[in-house]
Amino acid sequence: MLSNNLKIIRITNELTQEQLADLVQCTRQTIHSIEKNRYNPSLELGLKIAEVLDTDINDIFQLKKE
Amino acid sequence: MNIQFRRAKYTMFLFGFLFFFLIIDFAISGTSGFYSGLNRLLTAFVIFVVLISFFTMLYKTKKKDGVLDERDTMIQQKGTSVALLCTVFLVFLISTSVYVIYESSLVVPVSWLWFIAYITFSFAYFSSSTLIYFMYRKM
Repeated sequence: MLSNNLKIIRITNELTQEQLADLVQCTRQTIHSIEKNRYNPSLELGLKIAEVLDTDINDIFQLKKE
Repeated sequence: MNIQFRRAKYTMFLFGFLFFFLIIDFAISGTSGFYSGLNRLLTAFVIFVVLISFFTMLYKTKKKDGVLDERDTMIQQKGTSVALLCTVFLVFLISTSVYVIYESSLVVPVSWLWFIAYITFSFAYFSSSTLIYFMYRKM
């Protein structure tokens, strides 16, 4: 399972969910689901998000230790 | 609520109604009554109304299609593949039951074949849209 701090980083970059979704070419609902930890993005989408937010992918997504 | 979620909801209600209507109708009218006279017309009318409603809904939501991203694709793929398995299992279950019931008589009423045909396509749409609907809600 993955955990993420996408919401914090997104807000830091002053982006709405919709703006981020448009930049990474997905839907706002997908960004919302990722932030709520209900959906794990593909590697491609994760890398796109990291690129848009100008941060390392490991800073956004972490493995949740059980 | 995106358009795929809305379509799944409407499809679930439309084909759910049709699926349960067919079961209740067959249970009440029996093998002799299901494929005869007024009941045939009633069944055909209900199927016609459901299909017209379904295609009208698809047409009206066509322009609002929007972006179909990886999450939408994954949900739809999972929904349809599980629904396919469920539908195949349902048909297997009904077919083997009919065989067991009529094994000694050697004649299967034609109503059963019509029932299996109607149930198959209504259940396929109902199950896939229901799975897609609940996966959207969960995710």
